[in-house]
Amino acid sequence: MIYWRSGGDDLKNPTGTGVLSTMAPTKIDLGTIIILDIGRNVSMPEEKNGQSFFEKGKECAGRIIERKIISQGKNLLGIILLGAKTTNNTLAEQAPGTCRNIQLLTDLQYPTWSMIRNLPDVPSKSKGNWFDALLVAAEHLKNGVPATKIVQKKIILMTNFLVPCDTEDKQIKQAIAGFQEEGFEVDIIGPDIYSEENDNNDVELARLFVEETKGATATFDYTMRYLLFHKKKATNAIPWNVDLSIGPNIKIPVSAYIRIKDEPVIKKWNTAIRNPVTNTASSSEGIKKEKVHINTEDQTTVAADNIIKGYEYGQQIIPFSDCDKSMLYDPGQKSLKVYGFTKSSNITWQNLNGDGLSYVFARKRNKKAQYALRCLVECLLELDLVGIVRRVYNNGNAPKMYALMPVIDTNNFVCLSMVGFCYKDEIKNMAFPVTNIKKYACNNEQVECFKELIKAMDLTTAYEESEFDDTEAFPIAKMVSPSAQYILDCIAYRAMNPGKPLPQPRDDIVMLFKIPPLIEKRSREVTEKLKKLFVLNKVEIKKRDKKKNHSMDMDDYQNQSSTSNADVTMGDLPKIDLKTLKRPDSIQRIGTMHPINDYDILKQGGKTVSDLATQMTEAIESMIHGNLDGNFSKALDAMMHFRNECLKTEPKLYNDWLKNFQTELTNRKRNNVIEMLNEKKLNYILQSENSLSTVKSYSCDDSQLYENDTEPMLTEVNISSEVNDLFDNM
Amino acid sequence: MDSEDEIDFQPSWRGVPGIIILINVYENSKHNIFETAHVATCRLIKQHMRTSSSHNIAVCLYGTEESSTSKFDVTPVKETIPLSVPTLYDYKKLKSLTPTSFTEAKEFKLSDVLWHSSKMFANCKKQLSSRSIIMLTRLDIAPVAVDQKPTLNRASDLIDSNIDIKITNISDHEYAIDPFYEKFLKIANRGMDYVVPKPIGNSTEIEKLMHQESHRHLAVAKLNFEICKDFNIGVSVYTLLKRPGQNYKKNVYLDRESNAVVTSVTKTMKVTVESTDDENSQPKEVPLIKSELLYYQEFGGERIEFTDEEMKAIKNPFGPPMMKLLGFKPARVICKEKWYLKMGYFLFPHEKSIEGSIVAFKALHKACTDMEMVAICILCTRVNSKPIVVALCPSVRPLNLDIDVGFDIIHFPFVESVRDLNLNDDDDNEENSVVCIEDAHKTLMKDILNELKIEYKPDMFEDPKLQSKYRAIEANALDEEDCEPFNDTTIANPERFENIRDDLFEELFGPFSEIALKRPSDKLSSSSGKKQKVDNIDEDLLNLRLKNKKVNDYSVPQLKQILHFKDIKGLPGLTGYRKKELVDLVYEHCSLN
Repeated sequence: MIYWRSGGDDLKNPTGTGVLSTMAPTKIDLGTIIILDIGRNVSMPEEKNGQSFFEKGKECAGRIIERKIISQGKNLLGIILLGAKTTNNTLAEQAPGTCRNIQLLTDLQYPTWSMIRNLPDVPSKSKGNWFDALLVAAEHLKNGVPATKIVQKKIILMTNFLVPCDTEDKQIKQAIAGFQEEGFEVDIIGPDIYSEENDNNDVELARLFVEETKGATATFDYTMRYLLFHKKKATNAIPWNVDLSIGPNIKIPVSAYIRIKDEPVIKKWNTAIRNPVTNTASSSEGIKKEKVHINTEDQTTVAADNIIKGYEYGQQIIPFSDCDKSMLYDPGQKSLKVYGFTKSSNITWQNLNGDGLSYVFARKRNKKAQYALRCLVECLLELDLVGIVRRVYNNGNAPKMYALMPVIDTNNFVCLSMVGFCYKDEIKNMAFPVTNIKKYACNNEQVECFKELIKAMDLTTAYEESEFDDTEAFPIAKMVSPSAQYILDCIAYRAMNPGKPLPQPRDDIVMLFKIPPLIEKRSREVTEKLKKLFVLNKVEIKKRDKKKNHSMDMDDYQNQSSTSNADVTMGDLPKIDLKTLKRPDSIQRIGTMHPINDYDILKQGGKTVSDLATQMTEAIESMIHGNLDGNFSKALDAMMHFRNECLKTEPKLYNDWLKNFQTELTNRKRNNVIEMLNEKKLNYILQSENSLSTVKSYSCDDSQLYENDTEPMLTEVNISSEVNDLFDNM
Repeated sequence: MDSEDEIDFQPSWRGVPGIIILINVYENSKHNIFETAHVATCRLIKQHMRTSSSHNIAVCLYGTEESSTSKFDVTPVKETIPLSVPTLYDYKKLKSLTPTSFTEAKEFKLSDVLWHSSKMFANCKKQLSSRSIIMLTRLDIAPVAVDQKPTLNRASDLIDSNIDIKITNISDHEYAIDPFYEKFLKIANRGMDYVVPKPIGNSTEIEKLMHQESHRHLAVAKLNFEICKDFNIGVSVYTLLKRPGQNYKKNVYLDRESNAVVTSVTKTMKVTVESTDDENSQPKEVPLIKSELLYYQEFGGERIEFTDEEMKAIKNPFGPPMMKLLGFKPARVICKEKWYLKMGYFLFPHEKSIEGSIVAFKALHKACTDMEMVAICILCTRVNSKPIVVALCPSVRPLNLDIDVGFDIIHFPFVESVRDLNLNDDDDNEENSVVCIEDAHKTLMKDILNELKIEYKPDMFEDPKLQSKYRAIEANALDEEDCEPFNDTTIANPERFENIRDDLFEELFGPFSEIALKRPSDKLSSSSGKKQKVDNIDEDLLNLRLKNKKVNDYSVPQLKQILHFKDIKGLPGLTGYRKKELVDLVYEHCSLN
């Protein structure tokens, strides 16, 4: 995955050090230098067929760099190779002959993909002194980027300490004191420096460094597990400052910070034109977006400043200018005003429709406000109340109602949490069918079985304690979002593998959808029991519905509306057999939903073929002309039915209509339909079929006409399914 | 907002609902239900006009003597509004109705009324997604004997052709219901158990009920909820609320001159810049083809690019809509004051895909309620929506609606949605945890809280901006007398605050503004709206340079920084100052130190 690109002079990131040095002191949150040991001492696999320390180290360093790139923090990163073939560092320059085999691969700069690409592919045959490397790193952290203020400084050392540093204790102590003074933190990743297996003099020194500089240490495995997922770019907490007012005279200065908000991981994608040769963004072509306003009456373009607002009301357009502006609402100044306090149970999840959640703290550095807010929080908790406030975000913004709920957070935040709730205008007033009727009663045994399931699938004990730090699965606000992670994965993959097709979500992401194995195992027995206790029957029509969703056919339109109609009107009530209740005169006219059925019912009601002919032909025409998805079976079936009916008594009705209809089809260039009519033998009724017919023959082969007559149903079924298949495959 | 989310809420429906409101005015002089029904209906129509809904609504009076208004020559019906989207004209016509505008029939016939309704539906030119009849009537006067059987027959005909009949019992008191209506109700309820509708006398309540009955009832998704392998139940996902601002989107834009409606199109063009020496060459513009589009992001100093097709794949590679049970957790883990992310959904069972779903759903509901547990699921509502983890929390009567079973679907925030609040640059928090509140202070605070206690109802606040907008439009569109008085429900009556002891509060807790006075520069920088960074500066060096008159050695940004750092009262904005002026300012303000 990671490949070597020779060179190393073109490493400077244009947004990196070059710019930094020309600016006034820039604040950088974190400066990190990774010291990666690539010497002979790390080249051998630790276990047979396993990865060498070098390979693991390189992978881990790559992951750290990738994570730093993706999180887009104000972080600088430098890389030092320990045990490199060449020597390239300031200390060696100052005192030639020292700090050998230590190469500053990249200066401190914003992390780039080329840092990963430039990591060596193979270990060297040299060896380097890790203590010297620490000094080189420290020197570079201190002096490498002038005019920059780095808040936190870190050195990550990845070596197996198999090359002794041979340094006097005095020097070590001096170095540690220096590190402490400068605020450098030394982290060691790779070996378990607390395991007895690895114990030697150097590891002991390493421990000293970690402990004295308040650093951290972890093995490669642990680190890789910790870095399994990307960290998205952090958003700075920006306060919304306002006075929380209770009545006209009490005003407590507070600040609200957004705590939870649903935001896409990439807020806005930039667009460019693809250069067809290079498949990358074109430098000579750009995108121009232009908003055009068109007058719908005369289709002319209207200039933007000639546009006024208006409202549609009762099918009439009312220009805004006509409205009395003095009647428009004035929300007033930016404010947060208490309306009242109510029992906390009155505010439920269903009331909330705000966008995310904010925490309200007393204003910084205002001790009195902090005291008052703390008192308010405690009293609200004790009385089990929450506040209801009216918030105007900024002067003149529409007011919104919020609940202010007391919180004592796990982070020891003592504050009020603020969430928007609905206005009356936003309640949809939906009605649902009743379910508390006998038919839907569940028995005790069934409920008990679900209770067993709940016990078996308790996610708070999803993992064995020995395996993980935490036994809870899907911890709230701690799980990563599969979709966000996948997008970041794709970005990292594309950067390192330009031109290659994007991968499917990796297993670590797919796992986020899976029931933990222990839960799965525990629930197996109960689920079997559940299946026995409940009768669940699939309703078959489902498949048909699914297909119809994609069509725009008139016929389906009807059908769709009738199904959704059932959704709406019958809701979730069981279907009762309507046929038993059906009266013949319930059908008023022939529709496109069940034309044959409608026809038969109306006919039973005493109507004759000639009475119904117009309705029937209208239905057929609308089914065919309005059809877009190519499934004509219902229309053709209806035609067949109609033809058969006419065949018995009045062939002229059918023949006359068919003549017009065919002309119409030709005009509309619906040759496929004409072909289908021929194929299904829906041609004129011949004199040979009924003596009343005036049509003697038609060009098509008529030898199978009688077959058609005797086995209409069979033919229908066969052909319709073939037609179906034909169009389904298209 | 994420564009995918937008698509989530796009309704996928065909046709519009058709509703016929039938108001019984037979023997109105005795009971006068007309007035209540009339007010409620007017309000309903008005609300539909306000929201520009596309519902087709007809209003008819029945039990009348006239015939002239009915298209179909049905004597006992007076058609006031035809079955279409209500217009201003319709509304005005309805509004002008009074008990004197009709004559009561001598005998009460219902069958023709129902027949008339079915005719109206049949003649409606619009594609109707649902058809329902809402009857506003008392239930004590049955049709004349000869008409009873035909009426019941008509009713079942209507039901058979998928027309709903909903009966609203209008009366301000309880009374004995005629046995005829029991039969009628049974038919209307498709032969199922039915509940006799309670009498309602309040026009607001009637309006609310009619809103419920005329609601589209569109689901965000209909899914098979996988409890475990081979054990699915049919469920629908709904939103019971609109998102804030969703009511506002009905604005239209007009041409200033002709008042004609204006539509806006965003044209996307590809512009080619010819790299010729000729400076007069105009850039060429051609329409952009989607496949030519690249999406990119800057990461690690490089442009990471994706094609349009890849973008689609990236957005959701996780497959079709689904809902799957992952396990259960105690209900207390989902506390809204900590984890509210966004508006939830509501889960309700249906039998359309799997029969028996409701029973299983209810058993799960009961089990969760009894054990105070919530179900944790993965949910993906639409093809193009992201999979989310949700908690199903059993709910009863959400928003005071008449819903007896269902789950609130609560979004679990992912770690990506939670922001770190790095407020530790002060000692605020430490101090917070140690601080001890005095009893006297608590007593006062509690007094205030108790004084301001209210009973919250979900429908107690109306959006004042929206309401006043409606009134402004209506003042223009309708007669002035029609304008309802506007009452801003979001502002509490000032009288409620009269009894709180704010003077004592100020004495015990205040004054709060003291700090602000001490640090005017804070106020200055926050009011200018710009965040100004103030880093520590080397004061020794500054003093040395001040002494040696070497302030000129600083760079312009450093000078500005010094001035900000020094927290000078009434410091002007520094943009646009020349270096010399800045140096002078430093000498002026900093020499005192």
